[in-house]
Amino acid sequence: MAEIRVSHVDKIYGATKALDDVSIDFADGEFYGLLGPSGSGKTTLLRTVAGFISADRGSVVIGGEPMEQVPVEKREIGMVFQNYALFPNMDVTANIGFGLRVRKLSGQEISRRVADVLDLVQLGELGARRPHQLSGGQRQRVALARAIVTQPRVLLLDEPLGALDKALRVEMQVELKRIQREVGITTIFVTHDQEEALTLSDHIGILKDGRLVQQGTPQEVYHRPADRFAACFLGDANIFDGGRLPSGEGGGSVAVRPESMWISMARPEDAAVIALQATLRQKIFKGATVTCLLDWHGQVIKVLAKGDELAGIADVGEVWVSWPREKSMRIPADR
Amino acid sequence: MAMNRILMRLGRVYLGLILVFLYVPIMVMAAMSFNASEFYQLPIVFTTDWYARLWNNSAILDAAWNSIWIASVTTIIATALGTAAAIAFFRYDFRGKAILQVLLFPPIAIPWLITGTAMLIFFFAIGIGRGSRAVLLGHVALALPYVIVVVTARLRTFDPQLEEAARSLGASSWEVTRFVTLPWIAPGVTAGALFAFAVSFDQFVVSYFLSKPGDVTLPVLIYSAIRKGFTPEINAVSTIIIVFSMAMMVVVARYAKFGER
Repeated sequence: MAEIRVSHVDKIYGATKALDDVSIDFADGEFYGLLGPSGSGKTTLLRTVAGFISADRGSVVIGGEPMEQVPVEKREIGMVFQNYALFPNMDVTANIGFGLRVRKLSGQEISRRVADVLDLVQLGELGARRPHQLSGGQRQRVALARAIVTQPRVLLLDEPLGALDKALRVEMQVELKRIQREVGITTIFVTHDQEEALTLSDHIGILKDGRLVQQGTPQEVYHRPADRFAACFLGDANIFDGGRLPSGEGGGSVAVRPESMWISMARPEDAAVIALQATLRQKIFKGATVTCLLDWHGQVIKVLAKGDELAGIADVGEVWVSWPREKSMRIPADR
Repeated sequence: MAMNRILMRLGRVYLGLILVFLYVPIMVMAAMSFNASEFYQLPIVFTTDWYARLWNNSAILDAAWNSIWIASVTTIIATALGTAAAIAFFRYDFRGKAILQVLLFPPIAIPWLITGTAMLIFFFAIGIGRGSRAVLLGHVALALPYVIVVVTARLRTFDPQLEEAARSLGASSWEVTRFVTLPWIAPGVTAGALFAFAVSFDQFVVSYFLSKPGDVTLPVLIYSAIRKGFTPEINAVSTIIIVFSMAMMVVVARYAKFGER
């Protein structure tokens, strides 16, 4: 277990900067989610920490030890790949024991530790199976067990839940968090799924075009997005460009989460509330919630309402949409 | 409909003719190797005399032994070098890789006659001259591209992330090869080895150019023998080679099929 310090890392492929001056401190034992659209550099950063890619500039330090000259196999990492990369010629036990075997541990020690980790990931009975005889969720557990059985200093997860279906993914998120807490390894987790990042991470870093746009706790990043991209990528947001709102707040734009807003027929009489008169165009029923699409001077406003909040509101027509002043999130105007 | 049926029948006849042209000469030869008459007289009078005589023909036995050990050593060297080269092509990007890969194919396409002549000139120029060493070097050079091509084909089905996973778990580059890569490409390596053996064992042209008179391989000996006239002994040894080659092809086919899995 160790903290990881990534400082001013650049990686250039031809004309594109896959990583552009990225610096992140990963605290000892934390679960850090790297979030970004595809091509944002999140996997490149993960692979740089792993050692598969060497940075063109900057440094990676694990547990106080600079990694420039340290090859992958000497970095004491555990990695889970998107497609799991289980060895097809070995059964589950041999897959998990591989890292211990190349560390020249005794057969007895290997069996003991493999049995322990099989219990941890709740696969006790499946040691003799081959990877192709396992379900997606089971493969995922084997890959995780294989990565942590060597007690690595760092656990690197490259979209480990990407190949699972929705229900299984939610189940595995809980599992992943439980196992990570239990073993306490510093974990870096790459995903493009914002919900997954919010659920699992102690800290989140948002990447775009190779740059770190913002980092912080999930709450910080969600409630105080650094810019328009962060606001829209992590959750939904209605963006009001600088000066458009009647409140007259100068400079910058304002982002408002759809769930912070409500709709009413009459104008709310409250100074702490910002209210806009808009035209309700459509209600989309989603079970627990209803998404309302409104038109305000040509701009679409999205409002997320609970079903009972909409009693007495016609399906279409002139309404008021309002939100508490403190729910306005200030973001810099786009250049 | 009727047209179709005629075409199908024609197709069958065509296929039959192909098989006849391919196998009837071989079957005639095999039959004659069991015929007591030295002058191919019919009806066939069954005998295994010619096979028995092989055992006492030291020239044929020496040549057979030559062929077998040259093919075996060629197989070992070409398979080891070719597998290593295929893995290197798979794993690393380096300057000139594309050119090197392209250069692998002409030796397969260039007529052996020309390759043989070139080798003979070259080996004399550098002082190796003719003989078993020259034959061996020539055979390795001929077999190597086949091994690389076959192993490379198998490597196309190999997920490079498995090597990364092994490295992330602490495996050295040799351990990655030994425990992860080689087990996966084993069928390809085996098929490549059988190819190498076949290329060497069946090789006539290059062997003929590079071997010393009196110290020849089986195909060269057979050629010299039939120039003096056909003998049933040659039929016998040829039949043995055919049975042997076909058995090997069956093995290759099985491994090739295994490779598709």
